[in-house]
Order: sequence, then C-alpha cells, then structure tokens
Amino acid sequence: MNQQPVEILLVEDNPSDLKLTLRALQQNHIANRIEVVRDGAAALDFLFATGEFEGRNIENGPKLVLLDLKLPKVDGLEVLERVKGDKRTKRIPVIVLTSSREERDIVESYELGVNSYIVKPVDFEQFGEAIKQVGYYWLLLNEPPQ
Amino acid sequence: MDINDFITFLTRLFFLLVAIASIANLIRHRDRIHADIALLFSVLALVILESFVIPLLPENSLKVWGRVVSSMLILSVGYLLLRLVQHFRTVPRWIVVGAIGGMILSWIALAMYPTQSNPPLPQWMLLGLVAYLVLLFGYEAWAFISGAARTTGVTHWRLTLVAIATGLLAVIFLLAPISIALPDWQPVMQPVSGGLGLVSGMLFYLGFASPRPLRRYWQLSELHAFLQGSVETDLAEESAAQLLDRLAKFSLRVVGGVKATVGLWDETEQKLLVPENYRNLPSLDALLNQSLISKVWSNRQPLFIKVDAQDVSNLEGHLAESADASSVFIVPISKSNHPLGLLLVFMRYTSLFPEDDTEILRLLAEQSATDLEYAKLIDEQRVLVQKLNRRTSQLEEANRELEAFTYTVSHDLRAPLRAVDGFGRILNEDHRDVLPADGKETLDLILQNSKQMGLLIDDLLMFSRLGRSEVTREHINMKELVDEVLKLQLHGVNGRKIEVKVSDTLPDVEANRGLLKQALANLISNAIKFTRNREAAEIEIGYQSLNGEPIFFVKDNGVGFDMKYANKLFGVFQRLQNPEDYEGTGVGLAIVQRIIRKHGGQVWAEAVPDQGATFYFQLGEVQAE
Repeated sequence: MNQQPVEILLVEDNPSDLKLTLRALQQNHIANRIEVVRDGAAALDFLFATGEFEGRNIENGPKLVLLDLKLPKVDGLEVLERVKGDKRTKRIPVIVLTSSREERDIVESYELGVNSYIVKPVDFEQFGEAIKQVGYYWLLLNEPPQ
Repeated sequence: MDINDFITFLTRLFFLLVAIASIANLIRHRDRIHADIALLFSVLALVILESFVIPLLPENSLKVWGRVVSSMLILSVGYLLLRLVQHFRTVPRWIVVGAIGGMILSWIALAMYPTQSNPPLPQWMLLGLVAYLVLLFGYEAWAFISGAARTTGVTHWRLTLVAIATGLLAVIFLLAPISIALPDWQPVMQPVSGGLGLVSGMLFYLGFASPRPLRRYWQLSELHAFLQGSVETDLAEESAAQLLDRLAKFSLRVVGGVKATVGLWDETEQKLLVPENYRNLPSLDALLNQSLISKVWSNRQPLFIKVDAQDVSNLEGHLAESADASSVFIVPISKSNHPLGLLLVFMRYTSLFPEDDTEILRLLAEQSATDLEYAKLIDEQRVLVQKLNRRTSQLEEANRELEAFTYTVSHDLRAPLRAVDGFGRILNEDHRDVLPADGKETLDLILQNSKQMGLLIDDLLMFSRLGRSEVTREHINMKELVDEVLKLQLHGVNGRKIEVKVSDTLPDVEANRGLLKQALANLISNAIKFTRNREAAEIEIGYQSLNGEPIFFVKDNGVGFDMKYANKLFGVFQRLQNPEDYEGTGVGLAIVQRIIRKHGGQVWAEAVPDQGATFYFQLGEVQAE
C-alpha cells in the first residue's frame, strides 16, 4: 500500500476527460502526486481508507479533491455530502468538475459545502487555464486551517 | 231607479255576463267541465230572464207557475255547484245523494204550494229548505277553499273567488228565513241581501269568467315567483337535471297536481333522459312513440288530456294509473323550436281551469327552456375549458420534455467534443512539426470546427435555459447597463474606428438584469460584428416613446439585410450572412427574442441591405409575464 501523501484525488470516469485533466495538471506543474479513482465508491474508499484502500493513513491527504459530478456507483453529490459530513475529511477542499451548468447542481453543491465549481469548457485551452487557476489557488495560495 | 233597483240591476248584469262567457267557453272547448259551468250559469240567467218575463204574463196562474219554476231553478244551483266540485275532488257519495234528494224534495214542495202567499210554504218546510241550501253551499265553499289551497297559480285565485262567492250565497240563503220571520227588518235585510248578491255575482264573474288582464296579472305574478327562484339559484352551478326538478316541483304546486315528471332531451342519443329522482314513472322516451305525446312533441304545443286510467293498454293510461291520476298536462320544453325536454303534470281528477293551467305551465316551461339553454352553454364551455386545460398541460409537458431533451443533448455533446478539441490540441502542441502542410491544415480545421461546435452548444444551452427560467424583475438603470455592456463588448475590438452614441436619457426599466444584459450584449455584439467592413462604424443606442412606453433601439450602419428575410431573423440557427464572412452560431437573435418575450415584450428589426440595421425592442408591462 502506497503510504505517500497524496496531493490531489482526481475522481473522473470519462477516460478522455481524465487524460486531459491529468495533462493540464502536469503541464502546469501543479501536482505530482495525483491519485485517480474512476467512480464514487472508490473515491469514498480512498478518502475513508476502506475497501481496497484499507490501511491507508487518512492523515496523508489528499490536499484537494477534484470531483466529477456524474459518476458510476455513487454519484458526485453523494461523495461530496459524505466528505463534508465527516469531521475527518470536511476540511479537504473539494472542487466539482463537471459538464453540467445546471444551476440546481451548482446550488446543491454549494449547500453541501463545495469549495469551488468548474464547468468543464469544451475548449481545452480554457479547461487547462481553469485547472491551473483552481490548482494554484487551492494548493499553493490557500492556507488550509490547521 | 232607487239604490235597491240599481243593485239588483247590476247583480243581474253580472250573472248574465257570466252565463254568456261560460256558454262561449263551452262552444270553444266542448267538454264536461265547461258544460257544467255553462249549465250552472245558464240556470241563473234563466231565473233572471224569467223575472223580466213573468210580469208580462197575461194570466195570474201562469205568473204563479213562472215563479215556481224560478224557485226550482234557484234551488238546483246547490247541486250544480257540487258538480263543479266533483271535477277537482272526490265528493262523498252521501253528499251527492243528499244534494240530489234535497233538490227533488224541494221541487216537490214548491209544486205542492203554487201560491202567491207570503210565506209561500209552511214554515217548517221553509226552514228545511234553508238548512239544505246553507249546508250544501257551506260544503261547496269549503271544497273550493281547500282546492285553492292546493294550488298556487291562476287556479288558486279563481277557486278562492268562487269559494267566497259560494260562501256568500250560503249567507244570503241563511238571511232569507230571518227576513221572513222578522218582516220589520225587511227594509234592512233587502239591501244587505242585494249587496251580498251583487258581490257574489261579481266574484263568480271574476272566478269563472275571469277577464284576460286579471288572468295575465295572476300568471305574471306566478311567473315572477318562478323567476325569483331562478335568479336566486346560480345557474352556473345548477345542472340541467336540477333545473328540471325545480320546474317539476313548481308546476306541481301551480296546478295542484298529484305528480310531475320531466325528461331531458339528449341530442346525441336522440332520446328523453329522465332525472334520477323521476324514475318512479315508466320511461318517458317510450312515450314519444305514442301518438298523443309525439303530437305535443312535434307541435311544440302543450296539451291537457283526460286519461282513462283503467285503459292500461295504452301507455298514457299506464302512466296515469301509476300516478293515480285521471288527467295530465303534457308540456314541451323547447327553445326556438328546438326540443329540450318534456314536462308532464298529472292531476288526480281534472283542472277546473285547464286553459289557465296550460298557459302558466307553458310559460314556466318556456322560462326553463331559456335556463336550460344557458346551463347547456355553461356545460359546453366547461367541457371546452377542460379540453383547453388538458391540451395546455400536454403542451407544457411536451415543452418540458423538449427542454430536457435539448439540455441533455447539448450537455452530452460537450464531453466527446471536449475530447476531440483536447486531443486535437495535444496533437497540435506535441506533434505539429511532423505533420505535412495539408495535415496541419486539416488539424486546424478540426480545431476550428470543434470550437465552433462548442460555441453552438453553449448558445443552445443558454437558449434552452431561458425557456425554463422564471423572470424576476428589478429596477434597472438602462443607461448604466448599456454602458457596462458596451465596455465589455468593445474591449476585444482593436484597431477599428467605432463611433458609439448612447442617448443620455435612456429611461429606467423593470426587468431581469442578467437576461436584459445578455440581450443587449447580443444586439451590440451583432452591431459591432456587422459593421466590421465599415471604415467608420456607427452604432447608436437610443429610444423612442410610444404611448408612454419606451421602445429601445440599437442601430448600426453595417451590412444590413434584405427585409424579405426579416421573418427568419429570430429563428434558431437562422443566418442571413455567410459564415465565412461573419462568424456566429445563428442563435444570438433567437436568444434576444426569447429574453424579450419572457418579459412580455417584442423585438423587431428594420434594415436596408448594405446601409445598416436597426433592432427595436420593447419590454412588456410589468404584470405581463
């Protein structure tokens, strides 16, 4: 079991979006240690060190969660709810990444305590820029409460 | 002529009038009731005529016998009145026998003493006669009164008058022995009797030969009572069956019937439907095949018939038997010759005044026909409204589905497109060097098109979102908003000479800020875009006033368009310019229109090719949403 601290947990089921997001993160040298999971259940397992991630030290992060909303098994909003409802994980900033521009989703996300919300633009350039901004802000500038 | 003579004259006049009227009625109607009425008054008329003839008779004995006949005729009045009573109620057999017996006995007594003496008969006989008449008239007056109490219509008034007249006759006969026993009182008694006789004659006249205006008046007051009922009920709430029910109950009371039934004509099924609470009688629609009722039905004229309840082989007899009746009013309910229903009122015996009863029932049925027609219209309207509501909700549902579909499609299109664009870029960034010239060109086209499609989807999403969003209004300083939009739109335009004029007096509006800003942005960016080839572009934003409502406009001196395409301007994906010359998705103006319409307003354009275009818009009233 990898006990290295993880900087970003990327939860994304779409392989293309996953590849593009990873490239944007790497190109902008935002994070080296990125854990990728492909569905909501795996995301929860990772965050709470259960299932296949049993034995992982919760203290080892992640420092940031990039979360897609439309996910297999457990959907993004439920993951968000669990993360924000648990005192061990509620301080981890969660950024929702999704194609959905639906205001309903946005409002609900904020009610659940989401920290940022990025609508994935079609334009990769914009997408990369958005990832860069968010990554910088949350990983480098934002001082997490101790 | 002294006062007594005058009273006598008037009394005789009234009774003669009644006799003439009742004979005229008999000639018109030729039935038993009219015969009995005519008989009664002809007898009285004969007595009066005799009084003129007797003094002219040459011999004294003839005069005596003339008086005897007069007295006999007068004595038969009691029995003749009883015959009338028999038309509307059962008279116990012993009373009938007693009346006839008394009449015959009194005739015999009179024949036995044909003298001129005063008193002409022995006193005990005279008293017996008076008792007979007083009792008989008393019974008859009571019968008329109770008959009147059972009815409310014209019949009620007529029977009441007849009852009083009969009662007065009883009083007159009661006074007769007093004047004989006390001759001193004769000067007082004579005018009293005379006066009572006059009043009685007048009342008989009014009751049995009621003048038309009086009958009209009674009819109108009855109709008024019925109308009062229909005014007090809310027709919109009352069903056709309830209306008919009211008609049946009222009619029953008016003519004093035993039972009433109604049928409602069903146009589609072509049969009479009988309301739930009238099903106790045999089905009415079968009646329409009966000759008599079908005659009423086709003539649209009411009818009063006597039915032989014993003859149950015909349906009317069967009906009459089940209603325990011997006559029936059949009244069609129709409006401008259009059948609506049928009213049947059964009478235990018969009506004393069938014409009046028929007439009032016809009036009531007519009034009900109007109400029925109205109720029918309301029903139809209700059905239409229901249809409309159903259709509206279907449309709303379809619209919602369409919106959801548009949204889903647009949304799901983004993901693969992002992949195309993203990997195209990766290819471009990492491997452009190794591509041949035409490969590079192809790759550029892929990137360019995926970008265009991205814009298209974004616009479609916005358009679809507009359909679903509610417009919440706020106060907006139009001048500030226009300046804000201009600043943003002009930001990316470099190296062009654009002269922008904004009216300083743009009026404030109540609108949704976000939406209005979007609409202005689309209009202004169009103006900037389509003046691209002008050396000196001119854009003007101003307003005109129409009926106190501002009409805003965005005017440019750009390429304009041909007005014959103006109707296509605001459609989704409609473009009037070549995409190579002017980029865009063809959704911008559709969005503008949707925003303005969401506000209850209008947008339109005027243009001249190559000279420029002006887009006008007007925001609707604040209430109109």
